[in-house]
Amino acid sequence: MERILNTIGLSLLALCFVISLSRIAMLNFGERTEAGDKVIEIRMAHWQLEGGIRTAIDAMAKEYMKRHPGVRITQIPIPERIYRNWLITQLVGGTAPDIIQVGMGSTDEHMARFFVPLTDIAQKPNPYNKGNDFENTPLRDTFFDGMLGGFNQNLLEYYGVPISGHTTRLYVNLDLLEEITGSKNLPKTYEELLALTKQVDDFSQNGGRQIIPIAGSRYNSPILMNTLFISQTQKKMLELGPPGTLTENAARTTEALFEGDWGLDSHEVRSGLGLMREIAEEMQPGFMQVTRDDASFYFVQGRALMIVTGSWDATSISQQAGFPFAATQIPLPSKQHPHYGNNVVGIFTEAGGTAGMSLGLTRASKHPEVATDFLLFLAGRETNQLFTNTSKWLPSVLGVEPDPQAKPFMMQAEGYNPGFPLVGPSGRADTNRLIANNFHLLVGPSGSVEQFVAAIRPNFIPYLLIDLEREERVIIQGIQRMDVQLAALAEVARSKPEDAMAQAKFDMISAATSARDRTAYFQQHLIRKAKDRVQQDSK
Amino acid sequence: MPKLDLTLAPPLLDRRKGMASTCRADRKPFHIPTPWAASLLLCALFLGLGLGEKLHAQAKETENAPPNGSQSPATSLENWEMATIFLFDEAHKNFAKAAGLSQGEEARASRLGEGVTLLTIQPRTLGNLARSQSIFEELISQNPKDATGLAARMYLARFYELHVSPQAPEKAKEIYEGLLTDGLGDTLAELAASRLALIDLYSADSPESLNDAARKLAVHGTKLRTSIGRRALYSNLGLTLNQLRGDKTLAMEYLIAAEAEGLPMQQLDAPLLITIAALAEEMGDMETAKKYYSLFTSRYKRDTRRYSVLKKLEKLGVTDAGPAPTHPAPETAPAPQAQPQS
Repeated sequence: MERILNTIGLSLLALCFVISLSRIAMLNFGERTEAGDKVIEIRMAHWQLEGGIRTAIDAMAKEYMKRHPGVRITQIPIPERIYRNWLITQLVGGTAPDIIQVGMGSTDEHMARFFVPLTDIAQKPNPYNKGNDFENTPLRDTFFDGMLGGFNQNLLEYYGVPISGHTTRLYVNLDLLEEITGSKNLPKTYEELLALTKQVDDFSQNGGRQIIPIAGSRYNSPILMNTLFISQTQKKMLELGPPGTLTENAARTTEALFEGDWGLDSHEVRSGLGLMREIAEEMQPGFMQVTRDDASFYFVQGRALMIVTGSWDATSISQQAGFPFAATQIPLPSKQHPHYGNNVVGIFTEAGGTAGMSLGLTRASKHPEVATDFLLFLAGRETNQLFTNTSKWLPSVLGVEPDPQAKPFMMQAEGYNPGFPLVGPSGRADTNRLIANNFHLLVGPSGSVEQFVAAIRPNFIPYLLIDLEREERVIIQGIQRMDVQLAALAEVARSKPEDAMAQAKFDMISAATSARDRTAYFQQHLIRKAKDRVQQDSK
Repeated sequence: MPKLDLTLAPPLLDRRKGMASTCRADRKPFHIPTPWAASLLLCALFLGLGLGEKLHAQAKETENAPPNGSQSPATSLENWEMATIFLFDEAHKNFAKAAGLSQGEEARASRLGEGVTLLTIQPRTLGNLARSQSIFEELISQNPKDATGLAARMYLARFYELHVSPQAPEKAKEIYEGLLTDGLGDTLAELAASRLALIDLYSADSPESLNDAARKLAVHGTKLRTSIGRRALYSNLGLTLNQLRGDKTLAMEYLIAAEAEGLPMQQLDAPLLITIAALAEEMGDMETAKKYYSLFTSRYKRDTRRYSVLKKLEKLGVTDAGPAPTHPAPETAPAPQAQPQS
């Protein structure tokens, strides 16, 4: 008996020994190339689980590995839902992959503490552009947005290499469009869009299948409705306040509200709300309770003729939909529209959009030089061409020909700036909640613009005041942090008079702090006005 | 099978009479067979190797990690560099350590760093703010006119203006005025003029007092020696006068002066150019409007306002400003680039 037990024990020990040995051998020797060199693994995490992206990254990684046999690229797709938590855990735990998509859940402090600034490489030509027009061009100038998509305005450093770009569009099922209208003509104006939705309603009522004109959801619908609203404040925006900046400026718009230049009763706001209600009637009932995925299903299953979403969904939709579809800019009321036309200046510009899917290099990387080289490879014109051809997403590098499927999503440079929204920045949580809580009164079957306005009127300015005070605290906190950064950069610039970068950073932070100071003082001025207005209204 | 006699002595507790134990005091000595012992030794050896590997890797990681001052006392410059990238806590600890270890100028510089970083380290407590204030006051009492003293005065003013609650702009104003006498030529100290401008302009209670305040403040511009100081002052004067609907001619004068000093970022320069042009247009000065709209279109090829500005230029009779790009074109990026400073 004792012998048997000893044998079992010995066998178990031997097994453990072999496992330990192999584990240690793996640690010491690792995977080897044919030449006997250790294989370097570069891990890259991102949240883009949309169709085509993982394939595109695999294709780019494969190409890189072909050129660099000693490197293995592993992509780690993380669902958007858990990305923030996952990111923090990895960064704090010191187990972060070499390359991480930045933008979601990565604060300035995370960027400074856990990511490597890429400003140096942004200033130099990309070796992977050797032989093309960008051979001697600094990396940042090879992107359509000047690499703004990877620039951190607070830290004054580049922290990401962006590889794509995005726009939002109205998607139309072409087979269904032809079946309903007899043609494949896409709506160019809001009038045409509304006429089309009426045709869909007629088609459904006259014995055809039940077709939803526009698939809505709490994700997709606001994109369309807000776009229509800001078409109505476009002209007003140019008339507000002192000679300004030709673009929406929340502070100026808010001041104009307190001065009575616009309000819940002005015809621009009423028209905007009217448009929102009108278009909401063309979506399925209860759309604000529906998720993004459900709305996509309505569209890809042919149960809805149209949907509004970003270019990021195009590949997923094309993979799932068994029909051809087209994408067009969201149609706005034309200037000739008898009711809405007078408020419109023209189509919206998409110039100024920034490149997306920005990839950052972590300090946890065991092979930062290889990871940097891979980032440069991704930013090369040839690789970005491979990216757009495989993913069908818009490229970020200039001179790259977008894949034919991505062409309808190209940014429309010509056009005017849109108007202002009803509430302003999304940070105005209380006012936005007031709108959301009463939104059913605007878009519900028994609702109306009047009911909605009557419901929000009593609290509109008081809630805005709360939001303005919160904004002020955020602005002041930002300045308090910038103040310290300013002192630090001043000392660094003083100690390194020959360092052009140090001088430039101090130059920028001093200008940025001054601008922020102006914002803070103007915000306090706005708060005083809001308080006056609240007092006046309460009398 | 040969046996290695590794007798494990019964635990001491078991020998004590009357003490409860799960072990039996009279149990047989336990012998470990030689192969087992050898295996155990080998396992220990390899586990040790693995641990060694891990420790080595950790050591390498530490080498690659950002500076944290834990190895050796960091220099003042290294600490300031940490603060530039928001590593405020680390910078603060290092400054505090260095202030205790160094003497003379280096100690003063470290004290300044300690005081400045106290303004932002978390949690923000009244105690930290009070310590910060006392450090600035101590530095000022030692020497109010050297670079460290001037910086301490500037940050004491900022403390009153923005860091403490309720804010005390009058106290800040007094310090800023002093800095404009003693700190000319010091880039940081010269920012006092722009800050004084905001306090005074927002204190004005009528359009006349607003314009008067602006005129008085503009006098500082002729004395400031650094481009950064002048630019900040004229930007604050021009843009604030415009926002508060002060005298348009005055606002225009200051805006043009600010633009002449050059703003380093598109986010600040582009709206400044448009504000000058739009103000000129409103004042009926079409030549100035054309000049600044054209400057905007030549500098910013893919700004969202480009198309609107091109249309304005068309109306003003300028047709050679170039079409709006049909494809996104490269832009003047906000990358740090060398800027000449006076």
